[in-house]
Amino acid sequence: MEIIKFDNFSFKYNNNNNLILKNINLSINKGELILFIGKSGSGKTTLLKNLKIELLPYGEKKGEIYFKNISLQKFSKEILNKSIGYLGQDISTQFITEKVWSELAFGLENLNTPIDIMKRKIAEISSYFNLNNIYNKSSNQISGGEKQMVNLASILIMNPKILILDEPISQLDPISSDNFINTIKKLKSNSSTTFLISEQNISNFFEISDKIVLMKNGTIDFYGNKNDFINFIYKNDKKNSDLIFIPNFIKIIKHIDKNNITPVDVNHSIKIINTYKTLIPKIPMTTNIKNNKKIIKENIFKIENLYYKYETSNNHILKNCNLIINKQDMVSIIGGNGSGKTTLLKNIISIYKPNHGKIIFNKKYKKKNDFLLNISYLPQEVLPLFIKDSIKDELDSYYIGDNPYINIIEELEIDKLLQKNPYDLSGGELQKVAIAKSILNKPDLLIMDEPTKNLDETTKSKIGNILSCINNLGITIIYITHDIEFAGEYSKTSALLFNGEIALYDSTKNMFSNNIFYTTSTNLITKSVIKNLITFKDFKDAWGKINE
Amino acid sequence: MFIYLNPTICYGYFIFIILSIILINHPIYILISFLVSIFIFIRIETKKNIILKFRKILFIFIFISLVNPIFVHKGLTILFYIKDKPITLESILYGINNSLMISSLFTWFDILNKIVSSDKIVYIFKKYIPSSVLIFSICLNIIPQLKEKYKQMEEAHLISYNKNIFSKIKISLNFIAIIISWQLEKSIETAYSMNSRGYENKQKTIYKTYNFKKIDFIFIIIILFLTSFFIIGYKSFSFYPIIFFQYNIIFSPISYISFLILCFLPIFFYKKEL
Repeated sequence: MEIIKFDNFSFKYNNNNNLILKNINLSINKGELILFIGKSGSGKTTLLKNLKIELLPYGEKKGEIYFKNISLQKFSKEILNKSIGYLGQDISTQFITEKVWSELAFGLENLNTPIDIMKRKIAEISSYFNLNNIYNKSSNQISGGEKQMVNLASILIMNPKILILDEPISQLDPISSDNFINTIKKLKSNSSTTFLISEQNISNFFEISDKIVLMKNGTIDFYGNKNDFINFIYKNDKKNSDLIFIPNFIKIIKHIDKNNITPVDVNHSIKIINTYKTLIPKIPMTTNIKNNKKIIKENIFKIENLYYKYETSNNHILKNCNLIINKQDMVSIIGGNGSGKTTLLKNIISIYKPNHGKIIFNKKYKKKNDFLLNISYLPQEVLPLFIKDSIKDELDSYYIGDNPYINIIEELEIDKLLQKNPYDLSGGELQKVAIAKSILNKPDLLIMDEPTKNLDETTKSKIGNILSCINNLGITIIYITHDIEFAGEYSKTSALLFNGEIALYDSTKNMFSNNIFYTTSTNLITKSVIKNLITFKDFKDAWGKINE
Repeated sequence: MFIYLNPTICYGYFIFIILSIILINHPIYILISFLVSIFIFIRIETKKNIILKFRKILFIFIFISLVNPIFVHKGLTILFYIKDKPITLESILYGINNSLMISSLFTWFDILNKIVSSDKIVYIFKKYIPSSVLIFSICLNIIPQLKEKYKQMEEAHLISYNKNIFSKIKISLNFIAIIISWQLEKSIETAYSMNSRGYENKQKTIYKTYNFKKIDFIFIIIILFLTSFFIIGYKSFSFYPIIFFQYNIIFSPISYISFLILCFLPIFFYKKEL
C-alpha cells in the first residue's frame, strides 16, 4: 500500500536561487525501510524535512506530496504531529525537558491524551526500550546513546505511521549505534511503521533496509531494492566514484567476479570467497611482514607508568600506561568504549594531571609549555574551536606568510564555505574545517579525537590522504578512532588500549592481521584465502598479482 | 518513605518548620532544631559535603555572634566597654541565638534539597502555570549543558596553559558570550523539536499529578497533633532589656519534646531517592 508519494516535487530555499530538489517522483509503500544515501548537500535532509512541515524553513515549492493519497497540505497540524515523527542528528538539542519521564510524556501531553492511557503507553515504551533504569534520571546523568534512545522512544510513543531518521547515529559511538540499529531492526519486524532513514555511511543500515534511494544534486539517481542498487552502481558507474557507497564485503566479492551474487553480510562473503579456495592453487604470501628492526628513533614524547583516575570515581581509568611516540609516526589509538582513549589524550595535552607516572617530552622542548605550543588538538566536539563570526575570519590569520599547508583549503572544498557562520555548517563540513584549521596551525604534533566522525566516505578518504601527506612532510599524528577501516588504511602504527593500559602497540599491518575479530572487514573476509590484507586496496593488488 | 508522600506536604512541612523557627525565636526550640538538623544532615550527606558544611556553619556562627554585640548595645547587664561602647551579656546571647537560627535554617534547606528533588516543585504548579513550569524545566535542562560547553571550550583552546590571571579572566568572559550565543543557536533546534511533537496544540493534559493518599493524611494528622502540643506549651522568651522567660513545669517539657519529634520526622520518612 502506498503511503507517501512525491509528485514532480521541486523545492528551493528563499535565500538561494538554485533548486535544492528537482522534479522528485517517489512512491513509498507502507512498512518499508527506505535508506536515503548521497553526499552531503545532495538534498537528502531537505527532501525528508518536506514531509515534516513543522520543521521546514521557508522556501518555494512546486508539485505535491501525498500522504495516504491526500495532499499533505490538507491535513490538520495535530494529525501530522501524530503520524509523522522526525528524529534529527543532534542529540542533546532534541531533549526538551529535564527528566527522562517528562520527555516521554511531552508529546502525549500535547496531544491531550487521557492520563490512564498516557501511563499505559509510557510504561509500555519504557519496557520495550529498556529505559527502566534511567526513567527517573536527568538528561545530564545519561549517556549520548541513552539520550538518543529516549529521543526515539519519545517520538515512537505518539505511534507515528512514518518515522523519519536524519543521520540518527552520526554522533554515537559504535556500541551505541549498534544498539540503535538493533532497536530499529526489532521495531521494523514488530510494527508496520514506515522508516525513512538518511545516512552517509551505507553499511550501517544496509542489512535491514528494503529499498535504497541514491540522491545526487537534488535528483533521485536510483530507487529500488538492494540487489538492483549494487548492480546499478557497477553498471552505470564508469569513474568508480560511486563505488564508495558500497560496503567492503560486497566490493571484494564483486571484484572477484562481477556476476557473483550480492552477499548479505560478512559471513556470506566469507562463504563465497571460500569457494575460490580450491580454484586458486597456491596463493603466494603476497605481503611480507617487514621485520621490525628495533631502530631507536627520535621520540617526541614518552609516557611512563601513567595512572589516572577521575576525582569522582574510585577506579583508575588509566593504569600503568606506557607509550612511546616516535617522530614522524602516524599512530591510531583504538579500543572499546570507556577504555580511556580520550582520557589518555587529555593527559598528554595536560588538560588532566596524571596521578602517578610522567610524560617525558623530547629535549628539544625546554619547558612543557614549549611542547604544548607546538601541538594542535582536535577535540571530539569541534564547535568550540570556532569563536569568530565566519569561517573566513577563523582562517584569515593562516593566509599571512607562506603556509605550506594552505592548499588544504581548496583540497577539502572549504573555499565554498568561507562566507558562512560556523553555526550554519553541517556536522561534516564543520569537521572538515576544524581539521584544516588544526593542520594550518603548523604543529609538530597533531592530536585528534575521532577525526572521521560525521564524515561521508568521500571526505574520509580525502582527509586520510591529506593526513598521510602531511605526515610525510614531518608532522607526527596521533588519533583516536572507532573506525577500524580508517585506522587500517591510514596509520603506520596502531595502539590498542584495553583496561587502562596499552595492550598492543605494533605496526598497523601486524596488529590487524593478527587480530581475529577486531580487524577490518577486508581482513575478516580474505583471511581464509590470503593472509595479511588490511584494506580493499591491498586486496585489489594481491588479487591482481594472483591473476597474472 | 518520604518519596511516597505528596510533594506538596513535603514542602509544606519544611516551610512550617522553617517559619516556626523564625517566628518563635526561642533559644530552646532553636537549639533543638539546630541539633536535629545537623544530626539529619550527617545521616544523609557524604563525608566531603559534611566537612564543607561545617566550615560554612562555623563561619556564620563566628561572624554573627561577633557582629551582634559590637553593633547592638541594648541590654542591661554590661560586661565591659570597647571604646566607650557597652558590650552586654544580652546582646552576646542574642547573637549566638541568631547564629544558631541562621545556620539551622541553612541546614534545613540543604536537607529539603536532598530529600525532595527540586523538579518536584514543578509538578505542584504545573496545573496552574504550565508554560512557566515548562520554561523552568527547560532551564534545569540547559544549565548542565552550559557547564559542559564551557568545559569543552576551555579544553579546545587549551586555556589551562595560560598562567596570567587577567588574560584568563578576559578569555573566560569571551567564552561565556560565545557559549550563550551557541546555546541560543541550538535552542532553535529544541524549539523545532517541541513544535514537531505538537507543542502548539491548545488542549493539553498533565502526566504526573500527585494525589493525596492515606499516608499523606496520616502525616498531616501527626503534624497537627504534635503542633497542638508544641503550641499549647509554648511560653514566650525575650532577650532585651534583660533575659526574661516563663516556664511551666508540665507543659513546657511536653512542648519541647513534641517539637523535637516534629523536627525528627524526616528521618522516619527519609529514604534515599534514586
